[in-house]
Amino acid sequence: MALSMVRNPAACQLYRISAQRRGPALEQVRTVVWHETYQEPVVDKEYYRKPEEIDDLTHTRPVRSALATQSTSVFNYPEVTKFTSYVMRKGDRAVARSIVEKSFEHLKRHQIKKYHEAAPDEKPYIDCNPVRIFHTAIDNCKPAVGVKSVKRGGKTYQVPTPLTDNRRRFLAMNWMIAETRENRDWPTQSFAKKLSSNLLEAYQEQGKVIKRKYDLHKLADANKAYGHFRFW
Amino acid sequence: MARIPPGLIINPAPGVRYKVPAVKKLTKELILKDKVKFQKNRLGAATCLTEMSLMMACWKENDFKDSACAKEITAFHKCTEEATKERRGVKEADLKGVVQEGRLTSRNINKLLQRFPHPVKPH
Repeated sequence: MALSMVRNPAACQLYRISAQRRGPALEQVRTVVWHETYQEPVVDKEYYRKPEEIDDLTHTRPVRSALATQSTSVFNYPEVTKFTSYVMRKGDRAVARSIVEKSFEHLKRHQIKKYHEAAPDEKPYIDCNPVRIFHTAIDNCKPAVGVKSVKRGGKTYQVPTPLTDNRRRFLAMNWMIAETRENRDWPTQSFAKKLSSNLLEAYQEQGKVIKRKYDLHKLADANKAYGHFRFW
Repeated sequence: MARIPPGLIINPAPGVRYKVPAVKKLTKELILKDKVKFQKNRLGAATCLTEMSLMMACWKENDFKDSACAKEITAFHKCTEEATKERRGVKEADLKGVVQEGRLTSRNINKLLQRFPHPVKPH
C-alpha cells in the first residue's frame, strides 16, 4: 500500500501495566489532546513532492500538528533532540537546547584549535564535526549487556540480560548527563563546557562514563553463571 | 441420640476436650463452567547464552575493550534481535489462535469450550 509507511498511529504510551495486584490491569499514565480522527503528520519532504495517491478516505480526515522538535531540516538530528530532552528540566526546552548547542560549539572550537596546531599528517584524523563526535561518544558509552535483579530462593541475584536499543541509548545518555551534573566546579565551569569535555573523553574511549559502562560489563561478567536464571 | 463423634474419649479428664470436625455443606452445584482460568505463559528459557559467554570470554582476554570484541558483540545483538522477534511471533500466533508446539493455551481451550458448551447450565 502506498501510504503504509506514513500516517502511523501515535507511538505515545498512554497506558501502563499497573503494579497493584487488585483492580484493573492497566492504568492511564498520560493523555492525548487530539481526537482519534486526527492523523499523525508526515514529516518528510519527499512525501510531499510526489502526487498524493487517493485510494481510501484517509485524505478526508484532519491532521495533527507536528511537534516543535520534528523538522525536515538536514541539521535536525533525532538523537540530539532525544539528548536535549534528557538534559531538559521542568520543561524548559529552550535552555536545554542552548546548553547542547553551546557544548557543540565548545567541541568545535577545541577541535579546530587542535587541527591548526597539528602536524600535516595528523590533520585528516582530527574530526571537527561536533555532531559526529557526539554520536561516536554516545555509541562508545552504550553498554552491550545489562543486569537485572531476579529473586530465587529468598536471595536476589544480578542476572546478566540483553538490553533493547532504546534502553542502551537511554543508559548512555543518562550516564553522560549524570556525570556532567555531579563533580562540577559550579558556577565557574558551566554545564555546557563540562558536557563538551565529557563527550570528548568518551569519544576517545576514556573518562568516567566509559568507566561506568565497563563496571556494568564487569558486573555482568562476574554474574554470568546466573545467566540461566533468566526466563525471558 | 446425639451423634457420636470419632475419637470420643469416655469420661474425659477435667480440662480435656475433643474436637469434632465440621461437616461441609455443598452450596455449589457440581457443574463445570465453559471457561478455563487464564494461565500465564509458560516461563521461557534464557536465550543467547552461548553468544553472551563468547562475548564475555573475549572481554576477559582483551581487558573489556569493545573495539577488540566488535564481532562477538554484534553476534550477540543479532541473536537477541532474533529471539525477541521469535517471542513476538509466538505471541501473535497465539492471539490468532494457532496452536503452538501441540500444547493448548487457556485461550485456545476457551474457544473450543465455547463451541461445545455444557448442556446443563448452573442456576
